Amino acid sequence: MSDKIKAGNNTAKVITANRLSDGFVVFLSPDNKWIENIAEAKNFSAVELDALPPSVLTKVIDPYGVDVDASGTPVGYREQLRAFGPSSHRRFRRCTGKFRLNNSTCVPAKAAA
Amino acid sequence: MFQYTDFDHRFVRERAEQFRGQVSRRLSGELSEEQFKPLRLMNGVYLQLHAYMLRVNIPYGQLSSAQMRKLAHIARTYDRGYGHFTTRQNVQFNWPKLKDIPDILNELADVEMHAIQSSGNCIRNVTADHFSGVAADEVTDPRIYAEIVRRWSTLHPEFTYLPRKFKIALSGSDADRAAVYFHDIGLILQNNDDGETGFKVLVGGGQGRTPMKGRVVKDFLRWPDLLSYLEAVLRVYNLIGRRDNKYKARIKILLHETGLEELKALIDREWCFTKKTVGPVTERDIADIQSRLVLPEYGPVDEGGVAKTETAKAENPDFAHWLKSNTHDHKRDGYRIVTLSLKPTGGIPGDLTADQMDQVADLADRFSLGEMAVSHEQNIVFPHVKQSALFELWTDLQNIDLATANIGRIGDIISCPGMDYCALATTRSIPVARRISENFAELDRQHDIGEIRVKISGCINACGHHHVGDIGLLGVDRRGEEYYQLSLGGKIGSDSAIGTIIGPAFSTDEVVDAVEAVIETYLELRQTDETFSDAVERLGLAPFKARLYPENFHDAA
Repeated sequence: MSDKIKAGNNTAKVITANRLSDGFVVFLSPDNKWIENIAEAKNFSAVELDALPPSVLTKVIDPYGVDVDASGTPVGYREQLRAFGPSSHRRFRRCTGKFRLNNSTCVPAKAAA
Repeated sequence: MFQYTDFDHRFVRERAEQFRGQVSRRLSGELSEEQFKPLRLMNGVYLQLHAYMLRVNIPYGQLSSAQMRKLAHIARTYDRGYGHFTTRQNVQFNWPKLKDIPDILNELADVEMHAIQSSGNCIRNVTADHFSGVAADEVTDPRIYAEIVRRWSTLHPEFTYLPRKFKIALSGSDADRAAVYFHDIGLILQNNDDGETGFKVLVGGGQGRTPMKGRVVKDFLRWPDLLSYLEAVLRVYNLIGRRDNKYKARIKILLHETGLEELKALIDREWCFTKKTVGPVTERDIADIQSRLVLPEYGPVDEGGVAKTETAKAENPDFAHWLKSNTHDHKRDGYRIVTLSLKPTGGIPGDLTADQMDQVADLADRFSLGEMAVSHEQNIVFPHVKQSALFELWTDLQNIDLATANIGRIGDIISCPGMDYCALATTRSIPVARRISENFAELDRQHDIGEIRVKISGCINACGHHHVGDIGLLGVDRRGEEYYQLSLGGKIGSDSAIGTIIGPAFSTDEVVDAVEAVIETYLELRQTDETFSDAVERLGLAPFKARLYPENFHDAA
């Protein structure tokens, strides 16, 4: 079944899933690798999941598209928690690349500065 | 503690190896996620927001020091150095890798533990009063019967695919520390006028999106009839419980739609058959279980234990607070039941680091004959502490941040993991729990406020038991923002009640102030020695509403 993912107006999409081997949240990179850092994920305007190579899809569970804003931050707190880790355990927060930890929230590095 | 039979040992090992094969086939792509999901769930493996999660059963909350050390080892070796104790007396590991889980199950088997039936539409881990076996007020030790139920329900071939999950809880007394009125089946031990031991049987309690208090289906069930009667209840539920809608599939909905008298009649009719097929529990069964329940050997009680504790209490107000809130009456003279608070100020309710687990195990060996129990309130109980050793234990617990004197007080917050971890949650719970805890950090004030239960759920599934909190908080998503709905007046026990929603939900920025306002209102209006629960019952919601929503009370003012 085709699962067409379209970005909303003025937003882009990244593709996310949980990795089969450890369940970790991952994002699709420009070279079709599953990576943990959303900052390095490929932005899509629209994508057919079925168009991805099966060898890519079999490594993850339940891939789907997530809206990101102009800074690359996912829209909505659920997706922000997935991308940046649980806010309850500061040591597990993952704010890398263009994001920085500000109090317990991951924000774009420019905003934090 | 109960000890496994040879069969039990062999079985859990075989089950771990069976799962190893299933994991291997999943990782190789031989099994799809759709095929694998029911297999992993049968072994307690969920896929949560950030990773897999392994839920390990702690039958009726009973844990030995050796088992706790094993949990520490697992947390350190296969996870991220901690475990989370839940409202079902279980422990969850939040970051295991799929390939490691068969090894973890094998490690658990070393200490007579497993994760079978910690998920799925089956009879889940049996829970019981965390003071079982030592409570001064219990009729008899409910662990004997909990173990009978555990054996009967484990891999029961007829009840592996029920309409929905099924939870059974036991209490050794009317005091009900196990929330028996809010389980699919609740069993309260009691003696009848002839001195026979039996159960008051409740059916159809539960929380979730449709909270209901269990109804009495048998005022007194003789103990030999326990399994034949449970079999009859489960059989009726399995046959006519709804399977068309998962939100209407619990036995509470069947009770509601069928009516109590009709359901009782159906159960009794089925019971005529199950009495013959299942047969009675016998004295021999009880004796067999008792032989595997290795009771601790209580040593001689130190003379002057009480005096020693009283002296320390007089000299140290913090210790006095702890004695009052964190210790309870024991059935033996010279002993106290001690509760270790897993709710340090601003901490994460129910979390214990691997190092703390090892230290707790060492302390259990030194002070509690190697035994402990996990409570559904997400704390650890030391059941056998000598009165004379209380000050020394308290001192040692302080060093590992487990001596907060807040059991049954406002800092002793029950909280589900919420959206920080849970894939079902709609809001976070833990950060709110931490902020409330910090707001009420002052222990003198907590003790002045007195007995109160604050319970927080991050979604309508109510794993944080918010329906039965004196103050319940339910997280709701409002247009992409986290809001929290307050309810007051919930409670467990023989006078169990479901809390009433007080009004519109509060934003995450407002919610702590709202709880503060509720407490201030109580402090202003309470009568001498009146608990929060009693005050809410006497006053109703009006004064609390007036404080929380003053704009709606202009006329009244």
